[in-house]
Amino acid sequence: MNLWVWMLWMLPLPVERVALYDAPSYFAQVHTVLLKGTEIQLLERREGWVRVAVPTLPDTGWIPAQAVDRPRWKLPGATSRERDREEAVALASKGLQEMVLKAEKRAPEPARDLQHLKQLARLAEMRVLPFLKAGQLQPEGRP
Amino acid sequence: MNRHLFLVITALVGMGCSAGAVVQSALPRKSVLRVGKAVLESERPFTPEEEDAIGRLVALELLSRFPPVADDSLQLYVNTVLQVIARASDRPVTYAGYTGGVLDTPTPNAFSTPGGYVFLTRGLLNRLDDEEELAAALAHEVAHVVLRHGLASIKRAQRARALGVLLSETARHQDRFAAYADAFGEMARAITVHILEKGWTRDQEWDADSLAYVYLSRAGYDPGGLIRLLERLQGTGETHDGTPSFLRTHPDLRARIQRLKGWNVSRVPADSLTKAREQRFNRYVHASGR
Repeated sequence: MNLWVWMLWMLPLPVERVALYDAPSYFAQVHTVLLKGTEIQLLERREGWVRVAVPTLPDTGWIPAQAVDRPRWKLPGATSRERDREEAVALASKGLQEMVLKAEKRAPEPARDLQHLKQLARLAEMRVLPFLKAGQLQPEGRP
Repeated sequence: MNRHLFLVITALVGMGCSAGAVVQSALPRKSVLRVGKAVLESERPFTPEEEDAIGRLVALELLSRFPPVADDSLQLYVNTVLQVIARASDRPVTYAGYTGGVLDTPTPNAFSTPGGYVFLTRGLLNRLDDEEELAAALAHEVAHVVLRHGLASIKRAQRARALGVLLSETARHQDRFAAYADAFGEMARAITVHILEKGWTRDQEWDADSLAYVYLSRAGYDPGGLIRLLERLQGTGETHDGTPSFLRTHPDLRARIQRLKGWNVSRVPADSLTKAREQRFNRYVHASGR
């Protein structure tokens, strides 16, 4: 199969959330943040990055390849037990989410504080470039 | 392969009578195999979601002991420096993104939990001189996250037990993941104790220093800030307000400083601190009345 044809298919994003950059660098401008389940079209791969098109956005952008590469949980000697393993991981995820929610209910104030800090952290993610510029910081690999 | 077989046998013997009694009462052969598989599974890395869940639980525990400083502009500033360092690290992306916070306690210290939750105390911030030193403290903690030191403190037996529960056929579907979650809750508590009481090992600290030095340089900060930070913290002693001292949780400062001084790999000149960075550090950290 032609590599380009292989790469040009629509797939839902399997990760929770990922920033869409305008160049293949973590120090590039962030267009937006794609949420889990967003449909994306793979266009090109380059050194750990994938250029993608999103039907709802006018421009293409770059996301880290790890966001689309299916994680492989290496289970020693268990290649034929793939289904069991995935079931275990899925069950674990469900249980863990419930556990965290319960813990947050037991400690509502720290949970609110953590949620607030997370919101500030997401805001900070969007401010990195002006922050670098204002502080005259020159990170390696900045486009 | 032999090693894995050995692990299965060891686990089955080790689980002893309690597990054996359950196994014998129903589905013995299948269940025994599943317990064995759980032991094998315990060797797989944590999924990003598992790591984040553990990290969030530990972060909740830290925040319940030490609430954050109620100053959004300071928290945003620290978080922005954290995002710069994270992007320069070997793990720029975590499951839920890096989150930072300044905890309201006078004892100088810094903590990180799995998944990228990084905390500094108000006491530490008060001792810092500039943004390079702040970046150094954050880079050191990010390195612990990158190296997954928190998860390394979880014993294999704990994971095997949790996964044994998950894969058990004797419990109902709903009970299985609840029990698994409880087991993970125990792991999170173990990490909290580890972070607050035992601290990291000498080797873990040196590895985190080494990576921090590289990350600072990549981000454009003078990595000498890490040496200045450690020198500044040498004078901090034990406290009695419940917060562990920096020296207790970050051992061997003197040796670490000497090693870092002998390591000159930075691409950033030592006099790179700009007026703009100095001003914003003073604005957010020093001039806010802490």
